[in-house]
Amino acid sequence: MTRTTRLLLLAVTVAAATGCTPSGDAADPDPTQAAPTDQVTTQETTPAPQGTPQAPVAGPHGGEPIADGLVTPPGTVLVEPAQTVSQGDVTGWWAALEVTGDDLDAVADDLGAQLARAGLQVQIGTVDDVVVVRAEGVTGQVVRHYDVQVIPAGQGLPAQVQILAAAEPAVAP
Amino acid sequence: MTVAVAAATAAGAFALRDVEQDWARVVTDQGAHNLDLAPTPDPDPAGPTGPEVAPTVAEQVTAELAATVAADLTAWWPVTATAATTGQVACHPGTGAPGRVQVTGSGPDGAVRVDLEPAPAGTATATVTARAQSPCPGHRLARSSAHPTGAPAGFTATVTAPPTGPGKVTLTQVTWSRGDVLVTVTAATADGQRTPDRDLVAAAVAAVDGAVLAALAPVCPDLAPTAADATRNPAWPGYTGRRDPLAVTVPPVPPVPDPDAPDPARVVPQVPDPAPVPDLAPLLPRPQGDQPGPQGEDEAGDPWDGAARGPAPVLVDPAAFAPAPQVGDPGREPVRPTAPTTVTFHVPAPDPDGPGCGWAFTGQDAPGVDVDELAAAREHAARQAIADATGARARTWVATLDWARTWPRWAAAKDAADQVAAYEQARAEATARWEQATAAWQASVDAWLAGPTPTDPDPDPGDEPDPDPTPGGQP
Repeated sequence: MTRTTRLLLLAVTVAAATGCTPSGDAADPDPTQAAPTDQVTTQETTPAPQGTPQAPVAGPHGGEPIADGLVTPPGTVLVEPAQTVSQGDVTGWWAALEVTGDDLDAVADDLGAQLARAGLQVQIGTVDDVVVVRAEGVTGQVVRHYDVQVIPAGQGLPAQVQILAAAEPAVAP
Repeated sequence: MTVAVAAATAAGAFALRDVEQDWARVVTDQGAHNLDLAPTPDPDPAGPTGPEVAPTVAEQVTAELAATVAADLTAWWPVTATAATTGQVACHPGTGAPGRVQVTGSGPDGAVRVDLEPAPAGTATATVTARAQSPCPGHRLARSSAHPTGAPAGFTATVTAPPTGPGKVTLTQVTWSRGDVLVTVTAATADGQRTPDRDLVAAAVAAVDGAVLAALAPVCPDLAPTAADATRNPAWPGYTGRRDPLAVTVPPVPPVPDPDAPDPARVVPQVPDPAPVPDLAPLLPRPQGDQPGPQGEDEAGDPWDGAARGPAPVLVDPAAFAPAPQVGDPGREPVRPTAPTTVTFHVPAPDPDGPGCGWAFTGQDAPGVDVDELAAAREHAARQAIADATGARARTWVATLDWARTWPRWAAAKDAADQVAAYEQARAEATARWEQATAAWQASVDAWLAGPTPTDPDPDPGDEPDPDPTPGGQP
């Protein structure tokens, strides 16, 4: 199943989005139990304990740290380290990667897997050749949002990844 | 009157032309009929007396221009003598290029000088701008205004020369640039007249500008370089090399749905219902023969007892309004942030031809290209573009998420403020109607006391004053 046949922002399972080399790390799912990467299913993630912020957990491939536990997927380099931005009750950060390889789907899947392992509900889809990974979850009293766009090369720019993250209080004041 | 004109050349901008002190002194000292139009000496030893080199395009063009301007001078300025020479035309050494020429003319009504000064490729506009801020040493810039002729860059300045002669000389200068040539027309007064004839200055500027454009059009690819083009020239202090702007599309910001309007919450009491107020029922006129004055006004009770009264007005008692709650000003409605659609970055690029009239115009060599350095610079620019676009999206997204949280709060505050405003408006209207009814009741009492009105024994009820809101109806 190709990326373009996926429905926009379909939920995928944690295992489906792994795309990492198994290392026996207890934090990684058993690859033998992982669903095929093109399988589109929805998995209920375990809610994080109330009041316990839970950051995404990186996979075992040992990429360069980005922020919030995320690391660069294979075939990417960090262009801009995480920069924080905030306004009002919302805080966030952003980072930019350059894709050095050819498999943009693998990059999206790896980041999606990292976010899913952190207990976030992950959705992956394609919009105009841009692979979009969105994740959201509630940890404690904080709603966390992630938006990852894997953009093919164009306009004189190499293929790139734009990672946006934001957190806001779960209850509006 | 003596008038003098100076012109200079430079790349891409108009600059305040410096007027030599001795030239101003000549104008002042010798008067209009005996102007010394000799060019000022060229301080550059490699200038006219330097080694023989092939003339540059700039030198050829300015030489031809000098001849044209000198020949046409009498058509736009009342002169009897002209001269065209190479000479010093700037008080800012080092900003010009070979090919500087000066055309002067004088006659009974004045003198004019045109300076044509080539500038290094792409630097004319920036040079003009710099000179506008920094006139020649010893000159005071009395006033400056935008160029009146529509040149890409230029200004008009009035300069007061230093008092080296019998008195000061006020010079009017118009400086601008075309391509890589800086042009200055200078007019000065003598015989005590301080302001040159503006029509003559305007005629001189128009004529010179037309001649410069005609001469440069065949040889100058860009007749209107920008001030930023100077950074393409290694001779300019802020040299960066050619950097082409490239606009990159910013991907859409993650969707943030419009927030729901808050559920309406009533914050003000109910407006009291209207009710008849018998005490404010107006008195009807007394019949003929009745005693004037109220019945038993010295006794307790209603002094108007027994008087015929009209219908009681139906009013809202202002005293029945409860105090409205205090609410703050909701302020201006938060506006949903908008994301930039593009970010522009600048990509280093080879520059074989050069800005303005090009490297060849003034005989300048094109800057060398380091392929590796260029590639590294382009990679850096691309990374910066990626970072800029990502940052722009992130800032807008965070701002939009915050907006989605703040807008409902504003909407609730706005609704509360609207409710209070409506409640207070209802109170104000009730008060006004009550006061009207009270006034009408008082008018009816006055009419009753005055007795029947012969001219209006049976007044139309519709002409009766409105009932009034004074509770109790006592006058």
